[in-house]
Amino acid sequence: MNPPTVASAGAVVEVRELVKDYVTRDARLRQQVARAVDGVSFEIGAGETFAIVGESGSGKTTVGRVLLKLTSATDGTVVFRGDGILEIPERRFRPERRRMQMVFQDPLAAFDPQTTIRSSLREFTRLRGAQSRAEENEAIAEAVRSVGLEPGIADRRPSQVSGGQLQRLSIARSLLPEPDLLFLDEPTSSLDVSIRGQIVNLLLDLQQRNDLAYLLVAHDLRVVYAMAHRVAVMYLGQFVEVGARDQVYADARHPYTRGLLDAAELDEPPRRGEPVRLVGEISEEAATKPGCRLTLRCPFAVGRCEEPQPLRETAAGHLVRCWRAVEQPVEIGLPPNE
Amino acid sequence: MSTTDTSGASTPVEGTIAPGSAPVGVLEVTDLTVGFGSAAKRRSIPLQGIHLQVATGERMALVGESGSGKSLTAAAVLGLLPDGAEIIRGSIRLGGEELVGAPERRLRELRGRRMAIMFQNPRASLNPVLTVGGQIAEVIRVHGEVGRKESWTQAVDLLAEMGIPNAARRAKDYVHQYSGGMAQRAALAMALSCRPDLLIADEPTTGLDATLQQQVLELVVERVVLRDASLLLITHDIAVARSHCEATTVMYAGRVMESGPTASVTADPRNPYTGALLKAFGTVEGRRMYAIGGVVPTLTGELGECGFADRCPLAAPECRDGVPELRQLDDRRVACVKA
Repeated sequence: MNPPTVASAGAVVEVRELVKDYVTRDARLRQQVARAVDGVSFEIGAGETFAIVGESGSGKTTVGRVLLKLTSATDGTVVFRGDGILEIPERRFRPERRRMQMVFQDPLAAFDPQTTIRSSLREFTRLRGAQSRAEENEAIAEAVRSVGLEPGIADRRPSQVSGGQLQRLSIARSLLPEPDLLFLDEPTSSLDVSIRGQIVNLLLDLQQRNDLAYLLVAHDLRVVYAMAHRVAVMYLGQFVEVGARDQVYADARHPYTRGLLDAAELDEPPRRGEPVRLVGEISEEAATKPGCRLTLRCPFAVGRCEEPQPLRETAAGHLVRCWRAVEQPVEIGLPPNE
Repeated sequence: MSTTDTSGASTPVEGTIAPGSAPVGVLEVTDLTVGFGSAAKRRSIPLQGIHLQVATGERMALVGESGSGKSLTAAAVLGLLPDGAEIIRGSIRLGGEELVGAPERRLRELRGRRMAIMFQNPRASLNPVLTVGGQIAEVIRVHGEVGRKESWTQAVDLLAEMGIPNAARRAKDYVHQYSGGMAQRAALAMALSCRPDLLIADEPTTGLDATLQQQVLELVVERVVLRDASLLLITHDIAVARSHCEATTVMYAGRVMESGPTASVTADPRNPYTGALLKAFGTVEGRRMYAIGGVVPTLTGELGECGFADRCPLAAPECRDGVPELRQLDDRRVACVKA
């Protein structure tokens, strides 16, 4: 059964019931299965940013990595531009891969430190079929200009430019193969505050200009607020709340979302409902529970929370995995449902 | 360069602790200038005349971006400057005692008794091959002149006080067996075990999720207040300063830009850099984030002008006539000719 989600017309990518298990062995070589992603569904339209937020260990980066086929899925489907890509063997998928690119948290990871930025970028111009050296250089110059830099900077090595400049160049790199989808994995977290806004605004401009779909994974709820159209809040492999940006920020329903927003100390937007204080830390031991996985940290947990919690719709496009948020909102400090 | 005497020249404001107004601060840093390389071959000067005062019992946030010099300031205070760095001029006084030029033996003594540090990575303050309880007990034994058994009991009590569940059992574990949040609580226990007058916390929660960050910072503040100690909290996040410290010093490019009561510095910033930093953290207009153009200057030599002038919306020709000095303005000190 697919949980209800907001269908965006002409989705670039559609993810259904995605599951990812990691198999590890403990000190006695006993096999252990950790479910990093547990039945996640969403879609992203052209020109849309879908953000996944949550603490470290929530599984949000794994979703992006599976989507780009950087790691295999255990179960579920991913349809990209009409094709189910999880079943396609890597050899046949390769021509499609250029259509989905990634921007890394650490821009240094995107470049070869021993060579010029230009020669790293050159490989990506080939992906889109540039033939001659002149064509390659022209494509590079255009990409570097599109991120607000002078083309000459490409002749330097990664260590010879600033962190902010390198992140711009890493964005230029990801745009060279002319992708439809960018996976932005914490794109600003290695940057200083005064530079962060520049990169966010650049990504917003590029999205508008090229009608790009963004999958954004970030800790920084201010960055997510500036960039996302829709937001999913993830906890121990599951989405616990999904909705339009303003539904999630201004009218958060799930205690976990409310706890995250309160901890982030955002000035805006004003939130409805009482503040929520989460206790303790995320613990993978709770990831195998059939019921709500937050009970040990949630101030509102009661016996019924140990039963399985489906994602339920509280308003059009606004899904919450918490029975109390749906049935007893006032008792847990929320305004009543409309 | 002329040194301006700004210490002790301020007027206390009623009902608040104006930074620098306390007659004897726990910590008084004056004109601290630190360079890399030798006098003949200076590679960079990352601290260019830092003035900083922390009063007894005060919680002071030292806010700045990377490269502003905030962590290096802390390292200088602790006498733990990295290899190749030296103090060119200035003074660091801890409870009135001059630390610049003090012998290493004395600095080590002070680090154990009068000041302690918490690092961003809690595992840096704890020895990986000793049990958590064992190493805290050892510090207590050395400083408190108590026996083995008593020191262990005190170590367990201290861990329990920091909110570590089953402290008696967890004290026998090694730090790698602790989660990130628990390890930072243990590092706090370690730092407080020598009963310091001044706790320096250098980005103690930067690697942690916001939910844990809040828990750990509240604990640090609470435990420091309870001991009547002073806190110097180093952070890149001005929102952290706003929620946890009564006084804030903002640094940029190796200088102090503004210093004063947190409430007024954040509500009514007088240095344009402070204002820009606040906007960069807070403002999302439509689908736009506030961005400060340009880049942080490289500090290869001492600046002859305001370090923010290239990026400042209010920059005027007079901002280039020398480095603006830190001067008293109402309840705070500001280094800006336009303020």
